[in-house]
Amino acid sequence: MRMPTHTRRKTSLRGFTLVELLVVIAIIGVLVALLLPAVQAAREAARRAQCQNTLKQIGLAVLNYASAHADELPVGGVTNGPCCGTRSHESWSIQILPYLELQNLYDRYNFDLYNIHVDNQPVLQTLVPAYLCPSDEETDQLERPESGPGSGIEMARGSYRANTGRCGDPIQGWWDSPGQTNNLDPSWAGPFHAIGKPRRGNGYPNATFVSSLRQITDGLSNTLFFGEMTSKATNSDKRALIAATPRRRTFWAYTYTSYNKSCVVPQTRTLLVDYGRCVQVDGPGGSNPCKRAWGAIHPGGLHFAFGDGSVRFIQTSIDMQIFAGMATMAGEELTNVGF
Amino acid sequence: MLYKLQSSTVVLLLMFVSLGCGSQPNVVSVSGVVLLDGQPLVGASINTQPIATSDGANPGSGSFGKTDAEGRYTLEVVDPPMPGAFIGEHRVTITQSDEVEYRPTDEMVVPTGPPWPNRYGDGSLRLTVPPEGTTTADFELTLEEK
Repeated sequence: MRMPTHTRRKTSLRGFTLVELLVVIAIIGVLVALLLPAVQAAREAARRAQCQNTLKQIGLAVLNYASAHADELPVGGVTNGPCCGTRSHESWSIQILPYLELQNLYDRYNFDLYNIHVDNQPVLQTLVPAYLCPSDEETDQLERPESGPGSGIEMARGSYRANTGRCGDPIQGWWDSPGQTNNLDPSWAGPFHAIGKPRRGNGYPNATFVSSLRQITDGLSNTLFFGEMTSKATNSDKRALIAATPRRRTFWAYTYTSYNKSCVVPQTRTLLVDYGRCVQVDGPGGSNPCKRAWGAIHPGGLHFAFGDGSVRFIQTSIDMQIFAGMATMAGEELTNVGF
Repeated sequence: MLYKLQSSTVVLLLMFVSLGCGSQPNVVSVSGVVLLDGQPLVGASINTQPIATSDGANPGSGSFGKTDAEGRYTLEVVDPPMPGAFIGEHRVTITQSDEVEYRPTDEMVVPTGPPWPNRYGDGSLRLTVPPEGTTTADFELTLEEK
C-alpha cells in the first residue's frame, strides 16, 4: 500500500510549467535586448573618444607647424591649373607629417614632383593611423577616388578633412580649386583653401596666399580647422550614383579638389554621413556641396578641431548659418553662442 | 490565471519600453504651393533651415521638398528622416536645379536658361512653422525684381 503513495509523491515533484519557462525566457530576452544596445553604445563611445583624440593631435600638429613657420599655416592644396584634371602638388596632410612623428613618410614624398607621380604613390598608399577615426568603416582598404587625375590609382583612406572656408549660399564657388573662387566673397576664405601654381600672377584673385594665424581675426576658438568626413559603407539605394559613395570618401594625401578638404555650405544635408542621400535631398549647388561635405558615424553629430587646438562636437541640428560663420577666418559673423 | 496575468504584464512592460522610441514632438507637417509669376513652379527644390533662438544654437535639422506639376510641395526633415519640419522660423531657399546626373568630373555646371534670381537662393526668404503645422506655406515668386 505504501509503494503507490511513494510513486505518486515522486511524480508530483514540483517542476517548471511551460508558462513559467516562457515567462523566464521572455524576461531574459527583455534584459538582453536592453543590454546589447548599451554595450554597443559603450563601444562606440570609446571609439568616439579615440576619434576625438586623433583629431586633436592633428590640430596640435598644425599649431606646431605654424610656430615653426612664422605663423604660416600649411596649404590646403597646391594646384597647377584652374580646375579639373589638372595636376596638383602637396597639401596640408603631407606638410604636417613631421609634426605627427611621421618624418620617414614625409621624407619619401618628393615635393618637386606632382601629387600622383609614380614616385609619390607609395606615400598616397600608406595607411596612416594618425589620420583615421576608429568609428569610420573600411578604412583598412585601398580605394580609387571618384574623380580627377588620380581616379585610376588605389589610395589610402583618411577620416579628416581641412576646412577651406564657406562656399555658399547663394553663390557657390569652391575654395579647393583656385579657378572656382572668383565669385566667392573673399571674407568667406577659410584657413586651408587651395592656391594656384605658380603662386604669383596666376589670375586667381582669391587664391594666391597661404593663410597665416594672424589673418584669423574671427578668433582661433571660433574658426574650424579640421573636421570628420566619411560616408556610410552601405546604402539601400542601388542606383549607380549611390554606388559611387565609397569613392567619395576622404583620401588623406590626394590633393585634387575636395578629397582631403571640405567647405561649409549652410545646408543640413551636407552633415549627413551619406553622400547618396545628400545628392537625393538636393538643394542649391546640386551634388557639389555633397562632395565638400562633412560627416561621421557618431549618433547626432561630428567632431571639429578649432584653431585654438580644442575639439568640439557639433550637432547636426545646429543653425547652419552659425556653422557657416565658423568656417571663415575673417567673416566677422556672430558665432559667440553655446552649441 | 496567475501565469496569464504574469505574461500579460510582460507584454505590457515590452509595450512600455518601446514607447520611448516615438517621433520628434517639435516636428509638424508642412506643405504649400510655389508660384513663379502666377504659374506653378514645377520641379523646384525647397530647402528650409531653422534659425537659432535664445534657447540655443541647435534649433533642429533643415527640411526639404520638391514641387510637383501643380507647384505643390511637402516638407521632409533631412536628419533624422521623417515627414515635416521643425516648429519655428526658417530660412528658405528655392532653387530650380537640373535633374541630378552622374558626373565623373568635378567641373562646375553652367546652368542654361534665364538665370535663377539669387534672392531666392540666399536664404532671405522666411517661413514660420506654427506649432499646429500648415498646408498653406505658399511662396509667390517673380523672375523680375519688383
